[in-house]
Amino acid sequence: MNCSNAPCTPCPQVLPASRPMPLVLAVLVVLVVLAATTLEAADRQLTDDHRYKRDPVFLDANTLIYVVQARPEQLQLVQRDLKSGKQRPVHKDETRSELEPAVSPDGRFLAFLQSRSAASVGMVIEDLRQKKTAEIPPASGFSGMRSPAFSHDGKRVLYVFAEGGRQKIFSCTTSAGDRKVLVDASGICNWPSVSRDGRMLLYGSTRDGNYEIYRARASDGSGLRRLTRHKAQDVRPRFSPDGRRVVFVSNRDGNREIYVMGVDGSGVTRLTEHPERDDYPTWHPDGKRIVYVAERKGGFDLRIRDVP
Amino acid sequence: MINVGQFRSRTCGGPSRRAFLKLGASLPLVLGRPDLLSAGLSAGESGSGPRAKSVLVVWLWGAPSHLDTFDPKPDAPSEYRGPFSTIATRTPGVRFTDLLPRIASISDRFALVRSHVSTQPGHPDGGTVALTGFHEKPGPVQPNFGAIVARHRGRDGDLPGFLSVGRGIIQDSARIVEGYGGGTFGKAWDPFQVVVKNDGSVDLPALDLLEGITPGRISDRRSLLSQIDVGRRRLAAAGIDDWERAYQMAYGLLANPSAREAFDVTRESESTRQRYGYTHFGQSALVARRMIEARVPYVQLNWSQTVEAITPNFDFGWDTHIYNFEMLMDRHCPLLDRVLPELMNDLQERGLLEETLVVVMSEFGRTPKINPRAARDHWPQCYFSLWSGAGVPTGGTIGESDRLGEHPLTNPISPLMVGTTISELAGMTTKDRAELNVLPGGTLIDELF
Repeated sequence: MNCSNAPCTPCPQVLPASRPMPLVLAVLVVLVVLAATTLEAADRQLTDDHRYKRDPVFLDANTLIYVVQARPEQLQLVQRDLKSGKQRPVHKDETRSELEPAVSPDGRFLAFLQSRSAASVGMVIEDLRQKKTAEIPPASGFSGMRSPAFSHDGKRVLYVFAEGGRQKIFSCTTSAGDRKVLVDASGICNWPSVSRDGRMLLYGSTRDGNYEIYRARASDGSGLRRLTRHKAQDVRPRFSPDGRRVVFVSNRDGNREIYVMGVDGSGVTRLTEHPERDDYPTWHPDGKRIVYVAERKGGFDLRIRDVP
Repeated sequence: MINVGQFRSRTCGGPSRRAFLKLGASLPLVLGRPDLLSAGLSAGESGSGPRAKSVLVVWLWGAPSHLDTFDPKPDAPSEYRGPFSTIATRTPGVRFTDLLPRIASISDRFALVRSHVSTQPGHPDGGTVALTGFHEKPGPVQPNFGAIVARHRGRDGDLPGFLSVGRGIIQDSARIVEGYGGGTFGKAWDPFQVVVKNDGSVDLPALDLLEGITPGRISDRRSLLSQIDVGRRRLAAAGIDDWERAYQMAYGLLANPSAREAFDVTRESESTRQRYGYTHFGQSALVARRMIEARVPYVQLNWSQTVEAITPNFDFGWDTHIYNFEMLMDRHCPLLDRVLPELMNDLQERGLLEETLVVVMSEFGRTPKINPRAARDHWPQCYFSLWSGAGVPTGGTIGESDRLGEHPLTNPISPLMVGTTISELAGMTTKDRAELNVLPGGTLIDELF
């Protein structure tokens, strides 16, 4: 049978015997493999222990620090080398919970929260080079700091503390001195993030009812601008390294997913889409990718994905 | 995987290791003696069969905020309402906070009580009141509702009648909750503790009974008797005098493979275990479901062993004096919102919900007014519970709180009413309760019948 003359209706008896088809199939297979490889590269799993995790942050381009539930009673800081996949506790002998790590832009300081006694949480600022620590201990009674973050020059630590029913943003030096109020608004403020040029401050606030994301001048908290406006929770904003974009978390589509937008609140784009939870995004230092915690099949693991 | 004593053993699949038993001073002496069992009344003896062949209490230890979960007040002033939005549920006119979308999607399967009232603002005392209906002092401490139901039912098979699934006897930083167990019935009616880890492996401390004895050696009578003597001396040293009950219970569980297997969640499919989630609470809920399937009369599934939300060496209960909004948003509510609907779905799909009463409750609520630390403190004056299964009317609310969630406007419901209602649905009559001298003066939550 000769089908070389068009028009010709393909028939099963002919196609397997023809020479061009294996080539076409091969090309298709290559394309499919390439597409799959590209997809895999766009969103890749970094851990596989499935334990409860939160708060990843980059120490440098190859090292992550994050929190894992090491025991039912303990949240533990863990450091992971992305090339080797090896990980270790940041503080090997620590039995108290430590969470919400933040790293200064030069990688010299690590700030984090440390559970001290009953409902009492302090903030520790660790100088990784000089091997010394400063701290803001909890106030008397039940008390706790939240959400440490560094200024663009790494000289000050922003943190959140509640008093009088208002949850405010403070800052202090890396030796835990010179504590100042930066943002004092009604409701609850949280998750401060400073742009790399030091000009802008992002944070979440309930000043308008529910959690929304706001931008202000980093120097004094003035020049407030609301970036999100949604009945759902918009939380955990973080500036991209180049200061042009903001990654954040929202349940606006039903469950926790990760979104990115411009620093003026425009161009909101959903990055993740899964029936389970995606949360705690942090930018890779290259500004092209994020690492986040993905709940999958009942476990929690870190994933890294490109940001278009 | 079940851990017996200090060593692990697998009851199905994979390599097995020898299992050893050892005597523990904290041995719960539950069931196991025929004469005690005869003291209880079977369900059939009290007239018609019970609507609830089993009771599953999901104990949210530490006290969740009612305003931030099942009784939001979106129109309250900002110093009360909190940061969360509200979402519609499958129950017309009822809204939850947006922390609980999955539970909202099954709200037609439970009744929501929004008008609980307790009198004890502290955790141990409040826990005892919530679990027994009565204060710890003046004593004696009354039996847990689970002990009452278990004693009424008597024992059927080798599984205990009252199980506590979680991480051990519930406590706060100072002491245990006196009302966790048998109370006036004695320690013989304490719950059988089932300790679950987040990978689903199970510890059965009660089987820490006879150090050095493995299932295979039970048939070796000489060795067994030798070990029993050792165990008996240890029990005596520990002040536990009812050796026979302890021995019979442990022997029954140890010698009966099907009874042991009931605790083994590795017999579940991987997808089922994933749906519950690889957390301590998720896998505990799966064990609890297996216990219900095995027709254990009363299972108390504990969220945590301790109340404190964030305190060194405590396991993240609901006691959110600080970080209330953060903890609820980041951890507690997502976890509850995964596990509870899965548990309810699983019970329903297996045809168990019709004959199982599920009650989700805690010792009290939390302050409607946000505290100076931007969190919430203890509030026994108003809180919630969920009721499902056993034919209770679902898809509605019982009781209403005021506009700030501070007090019930209608139908104030006490812990004694909770216990009386649970026991009634489990087949006990007023006469049964009187004969056991429990829950005096208790009345029913009529809307649940």
